[in-house]
Amino acid sequence: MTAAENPDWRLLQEDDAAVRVGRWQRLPELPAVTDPLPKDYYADQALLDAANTALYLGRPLLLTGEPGTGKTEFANHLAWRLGTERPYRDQFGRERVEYALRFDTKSESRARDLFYTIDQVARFQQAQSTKGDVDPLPFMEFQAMGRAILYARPIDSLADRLPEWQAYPEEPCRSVVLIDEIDKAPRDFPNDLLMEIERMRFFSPELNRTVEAEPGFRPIVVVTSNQEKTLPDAFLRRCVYYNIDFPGVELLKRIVAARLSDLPQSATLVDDAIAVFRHLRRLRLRKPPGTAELLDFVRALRARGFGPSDRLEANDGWRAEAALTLLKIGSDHGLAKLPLLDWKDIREDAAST
Amino acid sequence: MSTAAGTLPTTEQLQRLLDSLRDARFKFGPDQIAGAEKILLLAHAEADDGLAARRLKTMLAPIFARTPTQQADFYRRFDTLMAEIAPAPVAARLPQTALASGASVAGAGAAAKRTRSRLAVITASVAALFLGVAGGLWLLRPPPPPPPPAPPVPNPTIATVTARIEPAVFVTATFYRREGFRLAEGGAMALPLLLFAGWMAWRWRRRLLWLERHPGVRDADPAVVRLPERHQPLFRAAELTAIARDLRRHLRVPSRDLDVDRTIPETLDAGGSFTPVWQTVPRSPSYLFLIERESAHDHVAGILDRAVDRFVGEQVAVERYHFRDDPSWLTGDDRRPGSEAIADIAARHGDHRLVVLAAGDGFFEPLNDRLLPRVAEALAQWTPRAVLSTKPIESWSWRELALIDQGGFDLATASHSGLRALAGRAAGEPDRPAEMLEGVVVSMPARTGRTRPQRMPSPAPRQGTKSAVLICVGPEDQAVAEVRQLARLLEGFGFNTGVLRDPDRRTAVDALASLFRTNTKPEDTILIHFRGRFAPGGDGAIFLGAGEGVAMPDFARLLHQPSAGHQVLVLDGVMYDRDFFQDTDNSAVAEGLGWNASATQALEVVWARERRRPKTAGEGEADSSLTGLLADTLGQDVVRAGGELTLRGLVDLARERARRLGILEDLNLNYFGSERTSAVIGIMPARRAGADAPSSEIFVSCAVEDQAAAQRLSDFLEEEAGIKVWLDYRDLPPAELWQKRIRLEIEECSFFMPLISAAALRRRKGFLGREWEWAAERARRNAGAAPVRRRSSSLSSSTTRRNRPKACPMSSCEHNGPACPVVPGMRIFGTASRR
Repeated sequence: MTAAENPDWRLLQEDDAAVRVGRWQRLPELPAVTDPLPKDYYADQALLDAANTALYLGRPLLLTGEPGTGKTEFANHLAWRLGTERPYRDQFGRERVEYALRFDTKSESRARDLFYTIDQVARFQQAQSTKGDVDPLPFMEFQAMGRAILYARPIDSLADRLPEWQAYPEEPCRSVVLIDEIDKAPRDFPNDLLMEIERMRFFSPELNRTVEAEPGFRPIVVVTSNQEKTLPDAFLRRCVYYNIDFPGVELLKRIVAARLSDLPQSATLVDDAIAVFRHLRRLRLRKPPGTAELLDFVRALRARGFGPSDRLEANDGWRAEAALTLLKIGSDHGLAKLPLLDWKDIREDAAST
Repeated sequence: MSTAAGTLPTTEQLQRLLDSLRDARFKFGPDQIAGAEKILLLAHAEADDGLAARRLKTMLAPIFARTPTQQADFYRRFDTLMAEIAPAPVAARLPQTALASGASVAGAGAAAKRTRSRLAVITASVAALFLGVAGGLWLLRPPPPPPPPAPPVPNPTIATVTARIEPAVFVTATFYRREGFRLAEGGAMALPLLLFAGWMAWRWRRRLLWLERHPGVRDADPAVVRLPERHQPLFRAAELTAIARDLRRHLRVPSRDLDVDRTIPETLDAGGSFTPVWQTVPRSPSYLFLIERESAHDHVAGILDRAVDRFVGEQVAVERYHFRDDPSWLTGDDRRPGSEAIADIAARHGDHRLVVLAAGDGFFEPLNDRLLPRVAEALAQWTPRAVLSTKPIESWSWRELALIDQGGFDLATASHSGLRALAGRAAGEPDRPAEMLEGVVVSMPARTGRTRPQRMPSPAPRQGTKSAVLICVGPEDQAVAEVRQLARLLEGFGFNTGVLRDPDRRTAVDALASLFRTNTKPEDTILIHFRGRFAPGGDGAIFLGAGEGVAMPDFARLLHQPSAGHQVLVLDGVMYDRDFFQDTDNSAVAEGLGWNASATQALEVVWARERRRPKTAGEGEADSSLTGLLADTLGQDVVRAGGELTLRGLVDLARERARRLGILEDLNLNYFGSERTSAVIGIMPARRAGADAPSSEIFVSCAVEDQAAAQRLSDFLEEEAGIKVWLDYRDLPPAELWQKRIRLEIEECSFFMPLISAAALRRRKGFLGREWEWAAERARRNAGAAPVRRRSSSLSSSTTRRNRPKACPMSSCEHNGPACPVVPGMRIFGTASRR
């Protein structure tokens, strides 16, 4: 998609308001961004070893790292590697594959939410309108951890409660559970999970029973954290910890190649973009750009008409795109001094690392 | 398994690695160790040694590390261990070598250094002892046997007997052939001992340096730090546990869950229409601790850190950040390297309870008690918020009150009593207005280098005030001390001073801008003294270098202004960047300062002079201009003082003059350090008598016992400084209504100078106390527009420490209560006795 094929990348102009009808049809198609497949994820040996240790010791794996280092994706990758993914049909009947069972932590999450949620109000109203006991099961919805524990049991009466579009495995099976961004939750959240995660069971007062995973089928737990809050010691003690370093040049190239499939791996454009990106990251900005920003940058460059084998040096147009995509905070613009950036410095930076 | 022993660590080596990790404050328990050993066993069972050894590091690190830094640290330690055991055959044959080398792994850094120095001491002492003993033995060895006696004289008589003694005397005399030989020999023998003793003394002396310069191998334990006066620990361990329990106490927060038990009756009461009652759930509160840390080796911050560590250990939810002076930028722990803006922190931890552990001087405009707006705004995002002050309570001032009133902070001392008060507050109702939390009990001991309590700053410098801001930068303590002396000197000349030590550019601009804001009239006298070079650095710092006395003529002129006259900038330094104010970045600075064209021109003049000055002759020229200044201000004394014409010399000179007058001894002033008193008494600005002077300028209020001292003081003031003094026993006319007259004098004087001594304090209940009350009353009448001009407020601290009522916890002046004897235009020369 070069400038010649798509002359309308400057779709909106200051003085063209008169011809706005039907404009939207000429909007460029979104550039090819492929969702990363778990099998394309590249995990280095240290990360795999950390997972090995976690699997061997039967402890949750706690992953930290800057945004964009692939903490969340690793859980899916792990599920793919272990072969615990589960095909299903979604509400629209489409074939899908669920890799890790995911729980997105919210700032008001409580420990119980990890296992199930229950609609008390509806249940209460139901109880008002009918006589006799109300079965709580229809009002419960099992969440990632609860589902993982259910999957790890032979089929029983609780199976009815699972959404229909999810196949309930007939045999107990293991699954990977991802608790994403645990540091968003209140401080008590990880503390309340200690026993549940250790024993892989939970008690539901509504059902008045304890649900426990079969010993051989304990779910594998991956926890990610953005390090926004200190996690309690007791929780850390029960985890296996790995910090994913920010990817180096080679890995960045791989990531760009994997995500932007229309670019050849050896594109000089990507080399240059990564050089600029890394230069900016070394400046101690308040908000250093992450991999998502890099991808945006490359896509913006492509939209602007840069070809895969172009060099940024030849055309100063990249500066505006870099300012738009890589820098997010006003004061960072002053620090980065993008309009004055000399290619010599960038090259030196790239050479020195 | 024995095949793998070549490249894989053994269990013992793993144990040593764990020991070194423990020293590095890694936290792990038996579970972790068991896990590591399991994995090690697996690795030993692995067929491919090399692969197992390579992978072992990344397999073990996740067990022990908890932060990115710890992860990197573990990798490093593990690599060191592997490098040590790599020459495996040697290590196997010589287990003791392995042990020794293992020890060096374990004690990487400090421990190894300690071992080395301990070894050196032992070797040296053994050598010295050996040499000493050897030398001593050689000295004390029995004299060589006398030569065989002469063949017996055939006829033994009395004469021959005496003759037999003489050769013996002769023998000893030949052995000590020269005078002093024995002495020299003894000296030579004792030399190693002396050298050794000297070395030990040097080591011992070094240990006596300031505590904060010594990082130490081990962290300070807050429970062991004791207050010098009360012999009680600053933080008691058991108490910290109890405080942590209170801090942990749960809040009840509403949840999304229905409280069924209460909903049913409520719904029934509402006639069947659904009335939900939501559950409240307990949530443990989180705390955000901001700790002021002047440097990496700040001892005080270290102690506070350890106390906070205890809380963390007790499962209190704590986030901790450090700052220097200005809390706008904070540095976190090793989870997040680099500094972060406080706005980012607020976005993340806005729901926390804020606790600031700081002296808090960086929160204020330097010349008054106003909180810096940006600091107040930034910290106001948290409720509740508290400041635990590390300042000794004796030097609290209006600023601490301002923290409560303007900042809305709860205030307490950074000690166990303060923390307990804070915990009690946390457990109590949340919506109380800010207040002083504790009945003041224990406070932090004074921080090194800050022992001089704060001058009571004035609420608002009025027009015509002479104000000075001194800025100095640099690690050299000498420079800092000199600038502080200069500040004291200027105070002696009637300046309001503020000293900024090593500020960043923003702080400096704030300080200067506040100065210009409060002194907006062009006729006001403002002195800005930069010690060093004022230049923008990459991160906005001001770099200041050496250089002194460049603009001394201007300086001297300024000092001689009897009252406000003009605005002068004295910039003292090595070199100025001419284009500094042309740069757009810096125009903000100039704008903040209110520097107009003429000020910039003045700057350029200074700059030009600076450029013209040959660099090599710099010091000499500075001295000569300083000589001129001194000669102008101090008259003939300068000539007598000779070559010692530095600021230090100036203060010495003043001290000498005061001593000559015998004032110091009489009032026991040396208790407080004579430098300060010399600044009070010695350097009095020479005033032109007669021009517009009132009949009496200074009212000296003294006890009968101090009349001699008062007489000397008044003699000095009248003769040397030309100031008229009113003394009741001398100047009260006979047959006057003496009480009325004294009251009148107090009403009309310019300076009220109570001489405070043990005797005066004894007589406070009598008429003397009434005199002070009259002065206070006059001050109260004129409150508001009154500039609080407090001299040496510190001097009274010891007298009032014991029985200060709580009404005025801030005041360190001898008059308690919020109204102090502050009279417009009057200066209070407070002095105090030892008792």
